Amino acid sequence: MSRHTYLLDPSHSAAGIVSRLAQRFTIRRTGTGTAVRTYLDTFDWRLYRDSGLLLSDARDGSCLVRWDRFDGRCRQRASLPAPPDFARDLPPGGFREALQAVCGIRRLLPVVRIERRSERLPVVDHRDKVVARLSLDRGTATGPTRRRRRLRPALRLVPMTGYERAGAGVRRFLERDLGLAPGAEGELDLALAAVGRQPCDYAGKIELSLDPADRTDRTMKRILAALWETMQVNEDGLRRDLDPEFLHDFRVAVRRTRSCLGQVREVFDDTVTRYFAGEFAWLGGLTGPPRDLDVHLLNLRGYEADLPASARGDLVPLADHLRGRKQAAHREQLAGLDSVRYRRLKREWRRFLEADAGGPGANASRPVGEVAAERIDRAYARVRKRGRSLSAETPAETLHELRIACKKLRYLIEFFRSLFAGGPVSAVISALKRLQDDLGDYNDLQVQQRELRDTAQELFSAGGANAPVMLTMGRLVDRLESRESAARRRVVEQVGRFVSARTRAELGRLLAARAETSVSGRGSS
Amino acid sequence: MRVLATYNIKGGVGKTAAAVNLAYLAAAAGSRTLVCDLDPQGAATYSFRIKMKVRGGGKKLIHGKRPLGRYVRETDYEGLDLLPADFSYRHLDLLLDSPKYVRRLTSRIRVLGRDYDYVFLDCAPSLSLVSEAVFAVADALIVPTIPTTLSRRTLRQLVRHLRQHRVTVRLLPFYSMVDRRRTLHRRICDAPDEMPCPVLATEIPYASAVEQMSARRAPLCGFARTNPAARAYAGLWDELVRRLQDPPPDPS
Ligand SMILES: Nc1ncnc2c1ncn2[C@@H]1O[C@H](COP(=O)(O)OP(=O)(O)OP(=O)(O)O)[C@@H](O)[C@H]1O
Ligand SMILES: [Mg+2]
Repeated sequence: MSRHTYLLDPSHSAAGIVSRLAQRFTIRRTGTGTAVRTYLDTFDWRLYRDSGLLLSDARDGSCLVRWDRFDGRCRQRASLPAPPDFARDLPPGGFREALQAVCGIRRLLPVVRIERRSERLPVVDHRDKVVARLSLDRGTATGPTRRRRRLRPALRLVPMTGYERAGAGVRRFLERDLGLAPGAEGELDLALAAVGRQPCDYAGKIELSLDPADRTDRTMKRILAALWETMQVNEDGLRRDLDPEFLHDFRVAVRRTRSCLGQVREVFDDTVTRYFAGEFAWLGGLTGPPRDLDVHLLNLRGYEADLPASARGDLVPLADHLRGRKQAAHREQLAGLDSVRYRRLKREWRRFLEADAGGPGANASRPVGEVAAERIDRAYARVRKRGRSLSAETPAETLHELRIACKKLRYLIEFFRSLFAGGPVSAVISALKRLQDDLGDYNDLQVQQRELRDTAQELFSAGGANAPVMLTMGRLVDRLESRESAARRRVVEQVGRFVSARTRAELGRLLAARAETSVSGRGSS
Repeated sequence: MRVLATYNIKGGVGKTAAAVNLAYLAAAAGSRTLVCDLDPQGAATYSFRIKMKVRGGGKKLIHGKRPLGRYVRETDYEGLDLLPADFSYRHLDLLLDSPKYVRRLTSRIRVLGRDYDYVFLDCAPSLSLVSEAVFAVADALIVPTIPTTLSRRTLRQLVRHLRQHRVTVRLLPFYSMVDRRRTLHRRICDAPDEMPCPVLATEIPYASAVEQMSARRAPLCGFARTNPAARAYAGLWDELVRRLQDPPPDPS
């Protein structure tokens, strides 16, 4: 059952509305209450996208946390000492599991805070039972940038289960007799609009709609600018280490930038490209160690779940050790981000992106549709070359090269996704995704074993390891080893599918479809 | 989801008072809570100022095609819903004349409960086919027990009945309407060894404020939270929540 919001403007007299309501319905006057409500979501709006809202109503000494659907129906609720920072802060149970499934490891950040004074006007029946919740709300909204804005007064009607007829009666009266218009937007949307925020203003992936007929240099700059934007918006969360995903998204954007500069050649000035490629390689290197440790720590949680309860405590010294190293790595990363070199990169890169001058390279002025098709074709050929002769005996380096080649292909397809028609792109991408997942698993399992061995050595040298810790770590390495060979078998299977004639033909069709639109696009311009 | 039944073979012992107040406390503490009023007298329904009526009555409760959620009404308290009683429930036993129907009723209650953290079943006194369904669906029986010799005997009958029928529901009796000025009450409350099973530590004192609930038609914990009996209900709820975290009873 959905709630209804009626925004009042200066022409409405709130007192007049209330007195007309009181003539028509029995209203139990229960006075005015104040409330402080904070809406929470992850940086990438996972809850909002999942069609839900997480909100925390402050009470003295605690808060009531609710997960509502957009229509106001409550999905889950729980009373907590403080708003949760992560889904895992909730007590064990259905609420935590459901929230964790949506938010994963992302931090729940305050999206907007609403301070409200409500005049409660519940409509009651002849038993003095509330049959519709009605209130006249006034208040302010404060965004994360601490901008506080007054909200328009609103009459809110929340119909109640089992009293639908009564709710509809109140609604009719408000709309027909009082001439109030129901607003389409909910409380959160109104508050966000008031503080100048847009829901879903960050997605973690770039969504550009490109024109195949456009110049390659201009299109490349648009892509690079979007990636730069991703780095910029994640920098604050990365610096504050709010959750591992800020660093992850930042790093992926750096990697994509490098790939974009390296894969699409002969567009910009060669020395300039090389210079920036070098600087972004430095930035990637800077963010590498803390990311590795994040991954290590996240894996640790998985290991813990794998171990029998009796052995879980054995990993505590390991976790402490890794956390200590993570902190040190994070400090070093911050020093890098505060350096003159990074500031200069920021300045110069922005200037480069904003400059109008076309690139001097041979590809600069060609239609991007053509160039993109060529590059994708080339990248796929490289994947095929490495993937064709895989077997159980293929050395790990070849698989590593295959993984990198797949990654480059994936980035290219994603950059240029909007140049191609929807269907086949998704088919090729999902086949590629599956292959990459398996390659990624295989690689991760190797890295994890290496890291466990290295950390065991470190712990041992530092005198921080006792026999149970070592035994448990050995047990984990064992388990990872057997999972690694299974992952390898899957890679060999998947790769066969991806380099098959069928996928090749599909990709060919896809690239050809682009060529046609590109031609017609040019014709019309 | 946890299903808690306030149950006693004896009448007038404080089952409804417990169901109404504990459910109120559960919802106030943030849990999504439902009270199912299974007593044809509808005292719980009355306490929430809700009209007693389930369209189609007991027949629809068991055999209806519509999910039970269609009959649910929101109370005045956020997070607290009620499935009202119907006068026809006095014939519920006749409708449950086959184990198949008992199972149907329990499964309908379970489906209804999916949207809640706690479901309270307020039962009529007696040992009947309805109580058989209640035993099957409940995670725990909360048994208000007045500290008298007769009540102790009734509790023993219940323990024996459950054992004979191999019902493995958790049994959580508490002392209800306790008047510590009375020698008998004191003697019984202070002699746990003579009880047929362990009794919860929290006692609900006899308090005239509890009786006011039917005049005010609201949970005591809502209109007089500082009253000693209201505080006792809060203590009882805390204790119950803790006890429900214990592993369930062994089916053997
Ligand atoms: N702690 C108490 N102190 C005083 N009176 C109480 C107390 N608990 C319940 N009562 C009163 O005793 C009467 C019976 O209580 P209640 O209706 O809760 O019992 P019940 O077991 O549900 O009864 P029934 O078997 O009829 O359903 C009511 O009038 C109620 O107000
Ligand atoms: Mg009763």
